[in-house]
Amino acid sequence: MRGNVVLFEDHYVDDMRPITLTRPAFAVTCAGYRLCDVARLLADRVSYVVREHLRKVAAQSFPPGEVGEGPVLFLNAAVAPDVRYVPRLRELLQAGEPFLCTSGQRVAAALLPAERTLPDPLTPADVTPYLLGMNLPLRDETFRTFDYCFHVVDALKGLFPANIRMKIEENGYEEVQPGVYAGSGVQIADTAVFHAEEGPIVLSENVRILDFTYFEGPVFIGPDSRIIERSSVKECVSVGHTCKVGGEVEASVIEPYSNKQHHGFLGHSYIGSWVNLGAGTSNSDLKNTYGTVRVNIGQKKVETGMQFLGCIIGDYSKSAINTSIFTGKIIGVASMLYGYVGQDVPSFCNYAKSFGQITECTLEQALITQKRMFTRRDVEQTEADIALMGEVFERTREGRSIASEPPVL
Amino acid sequence: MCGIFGYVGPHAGVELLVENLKRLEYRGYDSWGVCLGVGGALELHRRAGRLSSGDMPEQLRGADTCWGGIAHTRWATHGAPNQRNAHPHVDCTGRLAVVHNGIIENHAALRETLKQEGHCFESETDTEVIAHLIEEGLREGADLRSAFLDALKLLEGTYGVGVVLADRPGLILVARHGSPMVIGAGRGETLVASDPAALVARTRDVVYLDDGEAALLSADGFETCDLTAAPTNKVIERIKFDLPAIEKGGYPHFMLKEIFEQPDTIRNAFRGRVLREEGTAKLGGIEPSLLRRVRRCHILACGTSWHAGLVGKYLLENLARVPTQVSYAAEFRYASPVIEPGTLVIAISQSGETADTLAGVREARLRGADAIGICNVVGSTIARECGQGVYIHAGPEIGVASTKAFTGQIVVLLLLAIHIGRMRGMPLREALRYLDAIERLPQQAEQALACNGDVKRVALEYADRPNFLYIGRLYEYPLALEGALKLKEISYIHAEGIPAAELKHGPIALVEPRMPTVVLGAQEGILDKMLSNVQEIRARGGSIIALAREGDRRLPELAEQTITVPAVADPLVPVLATIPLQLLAYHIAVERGCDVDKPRNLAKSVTVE
Repeated sequence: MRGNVVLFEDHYVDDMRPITLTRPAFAVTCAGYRLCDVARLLADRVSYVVREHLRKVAAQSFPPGEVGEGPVLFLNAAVAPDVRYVPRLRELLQAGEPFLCTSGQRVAAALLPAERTLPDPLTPADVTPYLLGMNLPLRDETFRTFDYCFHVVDALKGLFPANIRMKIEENGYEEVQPGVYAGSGVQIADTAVFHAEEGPIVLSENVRILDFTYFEGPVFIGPDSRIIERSSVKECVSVGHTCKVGGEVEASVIEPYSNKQHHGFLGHSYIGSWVNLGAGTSNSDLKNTYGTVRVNIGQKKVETGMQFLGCIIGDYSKSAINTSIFTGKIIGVASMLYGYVGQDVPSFCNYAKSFGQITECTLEQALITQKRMFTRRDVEQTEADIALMGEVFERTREGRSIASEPPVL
Repeated sequence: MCGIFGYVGPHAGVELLVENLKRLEYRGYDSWGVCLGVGGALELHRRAGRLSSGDMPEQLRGADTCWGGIAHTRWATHGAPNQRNAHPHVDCTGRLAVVHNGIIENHAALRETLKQEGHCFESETDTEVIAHLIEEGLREGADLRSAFLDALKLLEGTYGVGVVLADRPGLILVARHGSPMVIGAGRGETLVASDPAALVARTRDVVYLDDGEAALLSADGFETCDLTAAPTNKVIERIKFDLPAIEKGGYPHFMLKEIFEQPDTIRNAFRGRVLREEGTAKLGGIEPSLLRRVRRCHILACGTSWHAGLVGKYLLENLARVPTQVSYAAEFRYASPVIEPGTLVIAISQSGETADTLAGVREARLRGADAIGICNVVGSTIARECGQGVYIHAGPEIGVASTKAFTGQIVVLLLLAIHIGRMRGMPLREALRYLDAIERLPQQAEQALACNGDVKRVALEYADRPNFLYIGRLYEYPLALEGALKLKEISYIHAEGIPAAELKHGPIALVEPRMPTVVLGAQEGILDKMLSNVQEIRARGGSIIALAREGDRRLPELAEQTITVPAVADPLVPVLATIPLQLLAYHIAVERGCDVDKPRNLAKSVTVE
């Protein structure tokens, strides 16, 4: 499995906002995997090219590797973490024949021959021109990319069957009930009900399943997470590590360290890390017209083609009790939601339109909250975390000012 | 239409005037004339027919006191192409001579007024009024420049005009309104012409006059002014091409030379414009913001450029998904066109001087459209008036039947479609495939030219036929029109280009054994449908000349004659498939004894409406 993989962000990565404001595109989870996890199945040397403001934080979680001898597979960081790509990419990497393949507007993957000189340094702005300028032979391979944030939700159903099989195989989980696979330290209440007819349910190490919970596979629960009593988790749910999940959850991604502990419906949604959804928080994932959902991406309206789409919530955002989020709404980073959320919410906003107020959430408040949350989970708030929050606050300032209803500053 | 050349300086003489005028003969060649200033007199020589047909004015040769002169080759608009109507025209005294390119629309009224003043007219032309108007001013005591400018103010229509006066030796007056005039700044000599091609033998430093500008030329230089005599500032520009570019270079005709130049001219059209690093085309002459706000395109052109425009419609709609309309420029202007917000007008003209296209651009801009030009001649009026656009860099095209400009225009339209397409979501892979394919075109054009022998053989067999049909679908439908036009232009054979599916709606009635049909079948995507149309023709006894994609066996099996072109993606087919059509028209014309470079009744740049 020797070889080099370089995960690179490109200039389209910002279209995945708010998810990619605070994390590299390769660190977005879908169906239990991130692309960086998939890359490690491909080669022993994985390095990456990310935006400048993410470099330090990325290095905390992903120590940057070095590119060694031999061919280099450049993989767009926005390629979906689909383990079905692994055999084909491995084959191409081993063959060592240069190629380039695209996905929509972007370079999806390219293989550079062993005798290559990489520009130093490489930045997201110059990887794509560099690869295109190499005149590599075009190859008709399909590697789907996440171009917009809702693509993560859209891809869940397609990625889940293979990804969850790989999870079981890779970790050697034991089948504790028909179709239910568990790692070490998993606790399952006797009253829990599992339906694995449509796909397995995988419970990673130290997961706790409390009483009267209901599962319909495929479902993946990350290590150290807890599924609260009376909750219903069904049909393509991917929960990261160290999460608490309650209520009804369907076809959604919850990144690590987030809580949705109480009753309320979450469907066809993506929830970032360090998010807390208050009791009774629910989202709609279906329009009353049963039509497809259109979302706002920056200044443009994008047709998702999805009949079911809930909400996208960036890292560090919170919702108060009984918050109701309308279909297809996109919530930024470190925002606070209250009442009805009938429109997109920029980052760093206190959104309480139902009560007549949309105000800016200060950076200081966001940092204090971050520290309090980190402390509860024994995570150190580093200088890099603080710097990233400040950088994202500045990067999203313009978005707050041009939002349909800008916050009162 | 019409070519003007003027010279003032130490080398003045009839040979110099005639030699350089020959380079403008493509603009019109039904009569010609020169007027030399010799001392304090003017010597005039005018002839019907072509400049190259001989009958040089020997009596003017070697006049030591010759200081300069003006010359003209004519494409008749007002008055028959005979000696009497040939330029230069003189006033009643015979001491003032005028050459003119364009149309004076109010010439009849001016003529009546002048007649009442006692002026006598010798010709039927609109031009002659200019001479008499200036004469009238001089008679009233005005100086030459004032009389000249005052006369211009009375003219309605278009003109590029040159004037000499026996009493002002060493001076030529010129002006421009709607018809090009280029001043050449030589060493101790000054020149003027309708096209820089006539200047390049003596100087490459030129100044393009703008509409409403006039200039006084002397051997020491020139002064420009507007019609109120206020001086204007001009910048001397450098012509990029050289003399060999406007000579035949060993070919029997300019047209054949230009057909064979296409591998180079195609390369010139995309050189520096393929931005593979970004998977798009780079069109530096157009503001990206202009293209980002495009909601629809409206192409204006005439003749062969209109056919390129039709190809452009398919390209812009298929590749860039921009709704596109193509109009004959002259029809557009007078049809009360609807210009919706976000409309981009694309004016296509080889010369950049086509009067109808220029008028269409002006009309469109008045109605709020943004306009860009796709021109060959650098600094031409359309290029300058649009302010934004793309040059095709094909070099001077002298052959009246356009060849290399057509393929250059299509390459530029391809680049434009890719550029806009990428802005509107064209997949990167598709763009890269087209860009790579564009870069292979010069080599494939070489391969396409290798069919010359086959085409000549076919031409010899069919040269006696009085009628031809050309059929094609999608990208090859405009080629069918272009192939038919080429044949009409230079061989005088009646030919029709028809969308292949339309054949059965009427034109198939023309099919009989003596009627050859040129079937354009080099596209892969639509070949099955074309084969059906071919079967329909064969069933009625028609003979088929097929243009087939290399490697295709089905179409050749149904045809009497087959010419193959290299296989390319369908949107690029027009670039290569047009080459055999050009050669077919050329060889048929030569076989029929036609003057390929100067077909009857035609002129290169149509600068009258």
